[in-house]
Amino acid sequence: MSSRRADLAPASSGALPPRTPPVVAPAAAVLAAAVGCGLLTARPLLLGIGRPGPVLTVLFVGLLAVGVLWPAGPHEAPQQRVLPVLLLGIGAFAVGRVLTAGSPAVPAATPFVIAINSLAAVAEEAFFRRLVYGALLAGGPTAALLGSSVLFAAVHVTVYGAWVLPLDLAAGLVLGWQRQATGSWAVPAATHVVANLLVVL
Amino acid sequence: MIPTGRRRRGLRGGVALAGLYAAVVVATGLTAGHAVRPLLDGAGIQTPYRWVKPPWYVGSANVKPTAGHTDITFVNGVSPLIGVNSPDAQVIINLPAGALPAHAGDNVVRATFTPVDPARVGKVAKPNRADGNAYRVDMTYQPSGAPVTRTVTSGNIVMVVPDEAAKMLFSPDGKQWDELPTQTLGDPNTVGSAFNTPGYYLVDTALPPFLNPNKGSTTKRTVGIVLVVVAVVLLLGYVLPTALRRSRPTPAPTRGRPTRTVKRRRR
Repeated sequence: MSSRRADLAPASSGALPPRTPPVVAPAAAVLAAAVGCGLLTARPLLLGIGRPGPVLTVLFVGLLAVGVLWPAGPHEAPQQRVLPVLLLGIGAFAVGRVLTAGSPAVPAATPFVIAINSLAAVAEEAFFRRLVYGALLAGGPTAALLGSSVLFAAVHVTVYGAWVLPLDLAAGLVLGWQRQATGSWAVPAATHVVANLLVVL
Repeated sequence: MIPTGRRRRGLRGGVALAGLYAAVVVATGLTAGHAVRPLLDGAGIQTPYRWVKPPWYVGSANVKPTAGHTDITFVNGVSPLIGVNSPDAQVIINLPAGALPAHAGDNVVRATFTPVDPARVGKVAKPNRADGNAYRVDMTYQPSGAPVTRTVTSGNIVMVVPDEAAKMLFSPDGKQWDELPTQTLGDPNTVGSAFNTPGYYLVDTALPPFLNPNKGSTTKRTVGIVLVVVAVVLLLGYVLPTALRRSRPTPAPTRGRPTRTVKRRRR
């Protein structure tokens, strides 16, 4: 609404500015995205500060808070019903789990591991599919989808290694598409939680 | 209401992306040379396998394993049915009752597990490579400190390894390895064999190593990647959209909107 008002207000030169959609994300959102991505990428270094449990919990709770509380970006109308999109995403990750069966080098499914994995999934989706996607939506839906997916993949490189880049880019595209199709970050969040639990359980 | 045609097109896009993801999972699994996960965060960073010397892709998230011991107390002169394990639980030894021979004057056997960098023990026969740490298992009577050289009856030893296991290996001194009859237990990363003798244990794998394409300091590399990621965010947030805005043609005024003509003065 504020951008529309700005469009109608006369410019200082006296000419009306053209009514173009905003293509530059708000500076604060870009800064928040940069800080969040920086912290996620620096996870191996952050873990040197203290025990993994508290460090990760603080990081993901902070990320979740910023992602959820950040003012909503441009609204995207839902293009699909929630259920088919949710099932398609979960189906993709279930297939991925089956295809990687026999490689279970994952932590034991303790209540803490389940809780921290679910927290991480929701926090990352709030951050990437709400804040980052919303900020990049100013440049168009394709830029938002690709940009949020590229960043999602990039922040995992220091944790899992360079080999994870194509895998998480593809995963980010699936999750980003869910956000785009339903107009809500809750659907990729639910999918991400299930995807993580499929690995741990 | 969303038009059906548009909805179908949108779903087709989702199916295509899901298919792409599945294809990337398969391709990564075939080329990575180590275990892959479909997607995981949170506790995934707590490297499940504890390395004495972690490979490059584990990064600095590794938690080094420590040596540890468990005392096995004889009951009425007979060693009990017991399971003992290394502190990281990557090696477990199960002994049936009476497996340890009695020793005059002693009523306790101390089982000690020491994780060892496989580069510091004998090399695994090529083309295989070591799969995780080697472990030195010592058993000594207490309080005398005399070593247990052999069990009376066989127990079993279970090892959890980071990559798909091939064979469990044994060496009395960590120099020359002998293959042990190996059983896969439930998944390819958990193997077991009979346990008769303390000494060095190691598992090998036929998977090729996943070589580091850019060797260097882990911290420096992490800092470098952080900087690149932050730069990409700024690029996506400012530079690219600004360029797009400049290249985007000015749209015509929309119908119904109040039009105002402002004449500019010519200089």
